Amino acid sequence: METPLDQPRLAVSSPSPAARFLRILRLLTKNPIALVGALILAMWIVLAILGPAIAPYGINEITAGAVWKPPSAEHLMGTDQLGRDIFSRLLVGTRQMVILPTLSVALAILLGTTIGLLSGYRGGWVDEIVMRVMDVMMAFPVLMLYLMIIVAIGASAMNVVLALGIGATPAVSRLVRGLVLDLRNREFVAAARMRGESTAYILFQEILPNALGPILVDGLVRIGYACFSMGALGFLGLGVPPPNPDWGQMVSQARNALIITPSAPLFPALAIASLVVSFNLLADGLSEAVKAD
Amino acid sequence: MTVLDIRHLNVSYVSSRGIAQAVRDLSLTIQPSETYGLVGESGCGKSTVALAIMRYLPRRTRLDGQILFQDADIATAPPAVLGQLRGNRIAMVYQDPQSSLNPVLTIEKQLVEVITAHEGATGEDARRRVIEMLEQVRMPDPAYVLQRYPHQLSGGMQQRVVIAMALLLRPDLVVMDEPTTGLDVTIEAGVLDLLNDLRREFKMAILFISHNLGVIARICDRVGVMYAGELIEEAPVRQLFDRPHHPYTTGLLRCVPQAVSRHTSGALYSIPGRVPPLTALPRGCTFAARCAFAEPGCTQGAPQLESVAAGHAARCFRWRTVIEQPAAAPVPQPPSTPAKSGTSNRQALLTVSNLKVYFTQLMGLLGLARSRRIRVIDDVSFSLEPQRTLGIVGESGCGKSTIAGAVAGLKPVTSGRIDFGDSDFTRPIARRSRAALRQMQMVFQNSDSSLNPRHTVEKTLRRPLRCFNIVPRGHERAHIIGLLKAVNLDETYLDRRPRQLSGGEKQRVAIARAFAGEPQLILCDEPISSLDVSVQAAVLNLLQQLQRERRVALMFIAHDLNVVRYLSDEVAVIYLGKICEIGPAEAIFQPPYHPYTEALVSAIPAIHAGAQPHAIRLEGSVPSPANPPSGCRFHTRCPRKIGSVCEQQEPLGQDVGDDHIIYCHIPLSELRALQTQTEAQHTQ
Repeated sequence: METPLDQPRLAVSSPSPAARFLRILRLLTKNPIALVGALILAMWIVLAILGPAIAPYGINEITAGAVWKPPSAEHLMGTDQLGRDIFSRLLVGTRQMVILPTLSVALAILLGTTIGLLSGYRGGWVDEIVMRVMDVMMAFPVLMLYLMIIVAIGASAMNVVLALGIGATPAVSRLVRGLVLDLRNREFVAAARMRGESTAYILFQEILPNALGPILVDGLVRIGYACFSMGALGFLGLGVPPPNPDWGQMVSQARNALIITPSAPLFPALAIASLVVSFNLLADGLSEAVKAD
Repeated sequence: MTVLDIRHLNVSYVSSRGIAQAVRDLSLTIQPSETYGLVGESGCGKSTVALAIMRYLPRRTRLDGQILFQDADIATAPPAVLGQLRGNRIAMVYQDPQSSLNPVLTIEKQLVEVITAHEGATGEDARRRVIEMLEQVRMPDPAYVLQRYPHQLSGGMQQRVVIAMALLLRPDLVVMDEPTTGLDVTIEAGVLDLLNDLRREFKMAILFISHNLGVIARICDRVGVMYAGELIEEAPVRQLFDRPHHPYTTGLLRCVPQAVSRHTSGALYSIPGRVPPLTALPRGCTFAARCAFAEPGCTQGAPQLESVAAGHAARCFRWRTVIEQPAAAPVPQPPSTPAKSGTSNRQALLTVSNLKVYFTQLMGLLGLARSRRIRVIDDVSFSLEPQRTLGIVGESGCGKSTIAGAVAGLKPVTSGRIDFGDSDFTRPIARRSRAALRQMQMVFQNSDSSLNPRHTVEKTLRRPLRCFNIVPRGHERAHIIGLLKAVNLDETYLDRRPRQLSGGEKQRVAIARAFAGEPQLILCDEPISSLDVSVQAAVLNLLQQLQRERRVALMFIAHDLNVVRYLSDEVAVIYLGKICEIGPAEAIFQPPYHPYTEALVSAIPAIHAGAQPHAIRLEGSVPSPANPPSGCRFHTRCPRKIGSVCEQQEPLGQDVGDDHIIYCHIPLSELRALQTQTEAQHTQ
């Protein structure tokens, strides 16, 4: 008979989700790439919280006569077309740039996962119809889709979240459906069906926990994309409406002054880029940590 | 002159989890035209040896020792020398022919490329040599095969192509890593025959790696047994099988069910415990923890490979005791045989009548172009009495798993009836009642996917208790521990997840889950085929013990005839969706056989000398169920085909007596005469 050996073996870890989170976190810290991403992101999160408090100027505070000034001791990143301090506006704009894309991706994951789970598990004509609708949505250029949504419901912070969230839903649902197509044929699902488990139990207890890793990794990359998209919406003037400082909008307005003050568009553009990169690095690390877990 | 001389080879894999010492102090030699077998369970380092010989090792690998091959030391050879040796002087054949062949190139391109790359020959000359080689590997119609792509060939044909590719440049050494493991028994038998012929014709040296002792016995001259990275015994093949000196070898040989029934032989022998992790090897003898002969001294110093007879070495302190008293190992108690129904009017638990399962395959865009029906199960009937075991055997693709799927309600039934006791089980799961579902549970094939990787053992076992209201909530935990004890695990397993279990442990948990709902019938779909030999025996013992204690019936599906013969009361042999022979287990394995059963029985590689059954070989592979042959479905491959009646008429069942029915056109008396005659010829 095969008897359990009491020699040292794989560490027996606690099964609770919190413990799993901690375990993955520990794996993450061992990955230098993920660590860099985490550090950059942590910096932005701190700035998002403290931004308004430490900003030297108000976002609408105008320094008379200082239009399109290059960086100086007074204005660390120079000033914009109205003589407002770019550094202060960047700091204050951090909060929405961190929160709104995250919210939009949370929305996309919620919608996309539900659609993908149902469509993948049901299969047949339900799957066929749902996926063709998703294809149609994906066939639209994303910016067109955002434009249509925002033009229809108006520009506001919440509506940007809605537009970005709906825009990312088809891709998330495709990913989840793909995962489900594989998982639903696993034998543990057959065993659950033979116990007479409900579809909801099978979807949320048997299948979803196994798909969560890839969904989260994908989500993290998607937050990076959403930051970009939000920048693009701001650039087109469809982002969060002024006078809120929107990084994309700041790049857009500063592009007119590219010849006079190249630094003006540079700083908000770099800010967007670093935020996107930090999410991507973290996603890379997370995907390895999830795999190793 | 020695072809390959490995001296004190050590290979370790370095990873964040530690250093896995995959091969330790391994020395072996292979002489010209010798076939050296390397045998052991998974994780024993067999494949690492093969990879080291090819120097196909991952970057973070430590390798030391010498691998001497014709004046060159492969262990230290620079890439240029390795490039010269690989493919040219040393060739390798892998387990899965499908992944060894490039799916987008024709067979001709891939074979000619080998010659072009190494010798520069091109065009007609190369093509001629390729065709010659295909003829030598007994490929029917080589010119036609050359124009095919890999997916257009059957598994057996693909493996022939891979072997041809390996032999094309007449290498001095061929390394074969489980070359027949992915093939069906009848195909495997053919490939082994071929290899046996080729090694004589080509006079090449072969390093043959396999976990299957029967295959090793059939093909090798000398055998090395590996355990936890060490060579623990080495001997000429017959000597190893007849007089093993190491307790691990003895155990492995005893684990494999031979051509016997459990009613006569009792429980199977099994080796307790499992292979230690290569990252944390125990002190002293690595096998001591599992060894029936172990003494305290065994864990002190490490035993050396010691010569025990001419050409025979064993790494054991106590080999003298081992050969003197092989009975010192614990002899399992024979189980009391389960109740047999003396009368034929006893009520059947499960009755399957005229079951048909057809799949519709859609072709073209959205299936609009056309669809075709695949007759996976075509008119199958059988019944199973309470507490008895029905074995279902057949090659892959014959539909045996589909039968289980249909009975379980996982696959829709096209027509026919499935009755379970008094209730109709023809309907799918969604339309069966909870009470009905509880009666039937299943143990699945793949130990890796049968448990949810995210659920703990406790959660896995709690669900069936909840679903079927077996115990009140407060008593669940105690009940689960009871279930674990029943499968020889304990409460330390409650919080583990499948990742932290070995293959055998996973399958034990899966068995506990199946028994948790206290069903009357358990469907076992190849429950041991993903497990190592020593673990297989333990799981089989467990299954039959639980069956006896908990009074369930088993439907046991397997491709391994000996396992089915061992466990079953009744056996059904399936070919291409139809039953070709059904009856009591003892009768199925005696003449008269159905010609297909005869071929299956003769294809089993046997371990012991003299036990090798007569050679009946099947040509080709199982035809597609989308377009099954007319008349008797077996006629295209049948070695005993009698004429056009086989092609035109479906054979009727011939009753041999005692509910043993053979579906064949050949009259029983003739079948019996023919088969006893062939058997007599081959035992001489």
